[in-house]
Amino acid sequence: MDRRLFLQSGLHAALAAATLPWAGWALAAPAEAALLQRRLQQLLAIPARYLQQHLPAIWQDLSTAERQTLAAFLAAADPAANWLQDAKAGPLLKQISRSLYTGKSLPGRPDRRYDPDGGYCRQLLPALYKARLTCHGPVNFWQSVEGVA
Amino acid sequence: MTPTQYDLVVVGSGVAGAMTAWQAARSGLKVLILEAGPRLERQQLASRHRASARWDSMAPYPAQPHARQADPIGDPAYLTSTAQAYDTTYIRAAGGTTWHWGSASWRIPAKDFRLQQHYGVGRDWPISYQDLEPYYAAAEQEMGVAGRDIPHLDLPRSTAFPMPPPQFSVMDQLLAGPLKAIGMELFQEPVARNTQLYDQRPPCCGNNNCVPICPIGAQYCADMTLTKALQAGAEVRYNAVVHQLQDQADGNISALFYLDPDGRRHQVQARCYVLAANAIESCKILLMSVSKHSPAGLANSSGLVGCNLMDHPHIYATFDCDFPVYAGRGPIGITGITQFMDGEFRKEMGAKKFSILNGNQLEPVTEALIEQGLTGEALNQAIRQQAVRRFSSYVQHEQLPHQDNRVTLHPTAKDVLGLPLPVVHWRVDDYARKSCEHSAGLYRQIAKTIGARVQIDMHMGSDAHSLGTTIMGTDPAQSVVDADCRAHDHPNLYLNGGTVFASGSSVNPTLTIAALALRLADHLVNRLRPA
Ligand SMILES: Cc1cc2nc3c(=O)[nH]c(=O)nc-3n(C[C@H](O)[C@H](O)[C@H](O)COP(=O)(O)OP(=O)(O)OC[C@H]3O[C@@H](n4cnc5c(N)ncnc54)[C@H](O)[C@@H]3O)c2cc1C
Ligand code: SF4
Repeated sequence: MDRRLFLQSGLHAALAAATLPWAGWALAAPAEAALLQRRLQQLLAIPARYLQQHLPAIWQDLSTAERQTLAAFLAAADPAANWLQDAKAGPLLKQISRSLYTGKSLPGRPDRRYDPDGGYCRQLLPALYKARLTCHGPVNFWQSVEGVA
Repeated sequence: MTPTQYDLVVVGSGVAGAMTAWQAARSGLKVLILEAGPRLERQQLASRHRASARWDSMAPYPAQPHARQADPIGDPAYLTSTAQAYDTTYIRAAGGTTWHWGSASWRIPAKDFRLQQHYGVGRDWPISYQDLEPYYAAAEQEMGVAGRDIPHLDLPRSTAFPMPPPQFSVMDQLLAGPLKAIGMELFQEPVARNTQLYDQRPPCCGNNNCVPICPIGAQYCADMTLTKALQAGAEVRYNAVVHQLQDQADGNISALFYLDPDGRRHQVQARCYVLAANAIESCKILLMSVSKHSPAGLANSSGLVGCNLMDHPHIYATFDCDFPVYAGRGPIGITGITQFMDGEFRKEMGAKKFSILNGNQLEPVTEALIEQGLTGEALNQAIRQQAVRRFSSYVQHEQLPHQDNRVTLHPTAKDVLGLPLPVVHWRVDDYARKSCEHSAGLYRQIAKTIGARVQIDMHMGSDAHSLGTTIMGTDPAQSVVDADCRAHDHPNLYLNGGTVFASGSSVNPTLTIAALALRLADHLVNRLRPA
């Protein structure tokens, strides 16, 4: 391949990996990742769209050993059980749940937010708790309890 | 080429340094500011905050290797303690620690300048509330303080607050009635946070991001005064880590030395020198400046440089109510309880100020529920239910000055420039401890009144208000600086900031730091300006 073309295609792949959530899945093991997404949909009441958007970055932060542990566990797990309580996979699933709900990176990984708006928990009270860093413009929510049951 | 001779060199561009430099420069003095850190960009800080998983106040402020900071999470090895953990934080960058402060802007009540006289404990200041009052007014003007009079406190004013107080949040409105019924009235704390357009800065829009960074500059930061100082003609050198001053036989300071990030040493000369590097870093500079005239470091003939470190040890409470309180609407703190800021009890235990925290509870509630193992819709329901029913509060307590609570230099550990790291020896005395225990009782009473479950954290840690380490007084054997903030030992050396406080009071210190800095500037202008 022409060297310039080669560099360009590399650049495109890198850009795609950084910008398209699904590119992350494609680079990783799709079957295991898809299984994780399916199982998390069973475990957590988070819409599939949100999972699709944010799980790839979390997946990429998991080590190979962690992915394997999860895949083996989730393939065999009893769908009726609460996996967060499981002694073996529970701690890791809790970390992933925490990352999905708060947007925070998994423990021990470089400091970042997978979702800079503060994770899925912010979407549970949309009108009351705005996304992180929305102090701009004339909006003033001090006196309002709008949107809260 | 002869080096420029400045009237004034100011070390540090936090609120203390910026205020003095601004006032001196606009009065015609030739001023140089030396700042250990870089200049920061608000937008960049906001983006860093957004990108970080850290919740703490230091997250958007990564240290430069040449100007490490007090950051117990990011750099725990920098500032260490030898008794109780002294978990303060401070920023070393232009504008200093007010980048991430909470902006509570209190005057120290008049009686607190005379603690010994009224209650037989602690020390009296050599200046009075009245001496400082015009400077309080000027500082409030510059910082843009919004507030209202609090009737039972001894805080006479010559001018109105620049802005009306912030509105009560929904939560304040809900709590005010039950608290008043048990004699605890909620008052808006004075804050340097715009309630209207002020000084070309927008009003606060109340979406709760104030610490670690107000993205729109509705909250005051000393970087704003630094900009005005530069516009008034002051010069600044960033990334200039001051490490030594040189004294002569007559006590006068003849030169100052700083290191750039590559370790190159530079010399600066001025008629007067002001250290405004905060209560820990200013002491470091004095203690590093050992000479044949000052074998224990500069300004230290009393042996008190670094001693008498005071803070506001605090305890923290989390309330889970049966009714929604909606914490998180409006800025992170609006109201406090001020009944215990004065009284005869101060003969026995410290004064204190309660603050109701309005911080958004979603994240801590969510994390706790996931940890408990909740899943599915039950988890979502519990988050919705608990996040709006939880709020927190803390009480900051007055602490007395003690010689053995002190800042020293680490005997071996050094930074990349070869400068010793600071070490703090700090213990909360019985005077403050007793008050903390009393506060815990009051928290239980509040919980009972409003029908909430309360968890109390008796942490008694630092409130990031380091005070007293070059204490002000009239007797050179018992203090480091005089009533003009001038070192007793050196006619042209001044200390600026919380480091000179003779008592800590129970209120947040920064407005007093700003007022003292403006008063110091007046003194310097009178001393240095040609007739
Ligand atoms: C999270 C938090 C919240 C707070 N909230 C409040 C509040 O609500 N109300 C209140 O009153 N106070 C509050 N404070 C305290 C307040 O921030 C400080 O009192 C105030 O910033 C002190 O100002 P300063 O100028 O003395 O020191 P700093 O702001 O620390 O500035 C010191 C400056 O000196 C520079 N410097 C240090 N060493 C050197 C050196 N060797 N050479 C050259 N320059 C040097 C630093 O880089 C810095 O710019 C809070 C603090 C924290 C951490
Ligand atoms: S709520 Fe805090 S961060 Fe938001 S505009 Fe007001 S002061 Fe700034």
